[in-house]
Amino acid sequence: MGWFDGMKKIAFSLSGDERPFTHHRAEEVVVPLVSGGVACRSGLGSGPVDAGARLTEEGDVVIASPFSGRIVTPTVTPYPTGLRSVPAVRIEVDADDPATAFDPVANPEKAPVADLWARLKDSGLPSFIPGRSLESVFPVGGADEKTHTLVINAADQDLGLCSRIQTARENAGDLGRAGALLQHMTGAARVRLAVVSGTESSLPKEELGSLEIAAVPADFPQSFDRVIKTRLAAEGVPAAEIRVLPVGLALAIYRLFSEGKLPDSVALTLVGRDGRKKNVTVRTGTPLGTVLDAFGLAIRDYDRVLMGGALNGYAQFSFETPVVPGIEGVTVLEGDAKTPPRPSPCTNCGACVDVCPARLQPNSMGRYCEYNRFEEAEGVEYCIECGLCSHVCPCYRPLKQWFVLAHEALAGSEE
Amino acid sequence: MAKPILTVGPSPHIRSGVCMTRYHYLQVAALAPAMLAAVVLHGLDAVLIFLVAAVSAVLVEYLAQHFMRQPKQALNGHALLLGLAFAMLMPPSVPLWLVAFGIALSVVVAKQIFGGLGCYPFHPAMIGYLMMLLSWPHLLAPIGDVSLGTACPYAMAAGGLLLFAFKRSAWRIPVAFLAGVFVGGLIFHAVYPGTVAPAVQQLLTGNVMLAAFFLMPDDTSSPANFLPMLLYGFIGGMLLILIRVYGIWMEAVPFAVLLSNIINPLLDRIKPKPIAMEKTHA
Repeated sequence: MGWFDGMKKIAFSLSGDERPFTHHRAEEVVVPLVSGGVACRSGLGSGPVDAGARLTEEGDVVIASPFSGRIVTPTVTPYPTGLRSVPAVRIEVDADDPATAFDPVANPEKAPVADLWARLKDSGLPSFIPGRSLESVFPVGGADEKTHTLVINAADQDLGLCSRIQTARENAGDLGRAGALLQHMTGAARVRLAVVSGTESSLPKEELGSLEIAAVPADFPQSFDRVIKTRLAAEGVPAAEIRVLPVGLALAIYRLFSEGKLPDSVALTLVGRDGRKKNVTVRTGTPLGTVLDAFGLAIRDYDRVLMGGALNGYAQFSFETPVVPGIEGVTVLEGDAKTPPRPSPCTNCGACVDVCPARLQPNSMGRYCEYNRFEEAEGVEYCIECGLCSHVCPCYRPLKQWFVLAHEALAGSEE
Repeated sequence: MAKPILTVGPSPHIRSGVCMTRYHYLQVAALAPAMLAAVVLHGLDAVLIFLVAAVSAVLVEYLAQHFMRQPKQALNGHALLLGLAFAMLMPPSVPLWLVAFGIALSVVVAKQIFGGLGCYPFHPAMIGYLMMLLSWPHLLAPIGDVSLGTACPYAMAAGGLLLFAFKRSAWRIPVAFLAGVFVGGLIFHAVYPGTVAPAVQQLLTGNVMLAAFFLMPDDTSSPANFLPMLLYGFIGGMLLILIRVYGIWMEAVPFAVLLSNIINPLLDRIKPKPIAMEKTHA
């Protein structure tokens, strides 16, 4: 934070570091009963549970256990996105847990498409799609909707993270087959693997099969799904026929059919308070404290521990919060006991206007959203929630949070 | 072992480190060469005026925020900057009560009543100055006397150029304003060669440099987009020349700045087309 920082062009490079995964398998995990960001009631008591067994069922929502073991106790848990307490089950995982929930499908690339989609929805896997529903990735259950280009996004989303690209490196063979399976399921003409520019050469191309590699610029937020869609649309692909899904979800769908597994592990990049990085995989539902202890990340008073990266991660208040699919890193930032500065009115300095990757006017949008006048915030629908405006704001205005709020309010008003 | 206490807060968790307070004090530092030049030229008078201006601006802002139950921000540098900019427009012979009174009106009427920093439509120091000018013209614009800010335009410009190094967009309004003055000067010198000074002389006389580097780029009363910033500066420069040529007041800067402030909200409606990202709630 030098004097000259105002002069720099904000350009955050996305990482493409090659760091092999270290694996950790916790004996006790906490599976939150949350699907699409909505908490479900739990109807289970203590007792043994098989992998694939339904933990809760509400309407279309199915949440299943990725492990076989014993439910120690139904409980509540904090959730990574900041919810203070959601229903959950604490599971003691069997030592010899094969984690096989279902019978594998012999040749999924040749199985009838409708069967595959039905099986996918029924398995409980969609509840592991972070904060979203299956329909947000594949509208109307996939098969009925036309898909031109399917993008498996292996470009990391936040500063310092490299878990996505490492997942692609270490699972290239499965990823190639996942691409073929998803092409079969969606009827897409092209399946592409988005990676951060500069990392293409580190991927074993022969294993990727028919997956085409598409490099995105190494600048934050060029790896965001919506930016990738915008770029493809500019190349002439019909915007409504582009599907982008994270590499973890593509692999999870493939493994559901090939191995009969639910997402039983989460790939994380751990960034310590000294900035050192480590790639690890942990069991789904491993509490944050267990992850930090297992890999020796030091935490002192007043530090920030984030699920995700330094720009858009969620600050955690509890070490009990479980790591769930969709979380791609844990970042520790050094902190102090000072009270953070309070936001003040916008001085129209223009820093946010200069930095916005969508060429919006965060200054005036913020003034409307601050008073819940979301309809008048011109252009807010194009905001990709990257947070660069809040990053540069000299008045410490929570611009990104207002725009997130606007998106929720506007989506609600349209229903 | 007790678990550490964690800090929570909204993302992004790293900030650029650019903060408003820092930039205001930087601007005050950039005014220092011009203040020094004024002190060298006018001696104790200038020292007293700057002192009274600085103290009264901060004090009045503190009291205003206290009585209006606003968050206390009197030390964020803006009041100080405002007071010093006001002082720059004063002739050395001005009575000190008038400096204090003018600043009090600037801060209370033109800034805090509108909601303070970020909310006022016009540059507060210009409003205060004009109220004083209309009330006591003989004290503020005595015949044959010049204001403190005109002591050394080069020192003023040197300080202003320093700001370019600290803010990426800082050059836009000053450069466009000086271009406006220069082009206006060329045109009107060609039309009235006998009565209107040549363009270069227009740049170096009066408070042009003060306006270019410190008054026109005031964040709150100036636009934030690229093209509007250039237009705002250029129009301000042209207005300055127009007022100098056809106006009755010796000092054209406050009028040019205020007139440009009026068009600021309109100018900021000229904005780039957003990159059509997929809509969130499509």
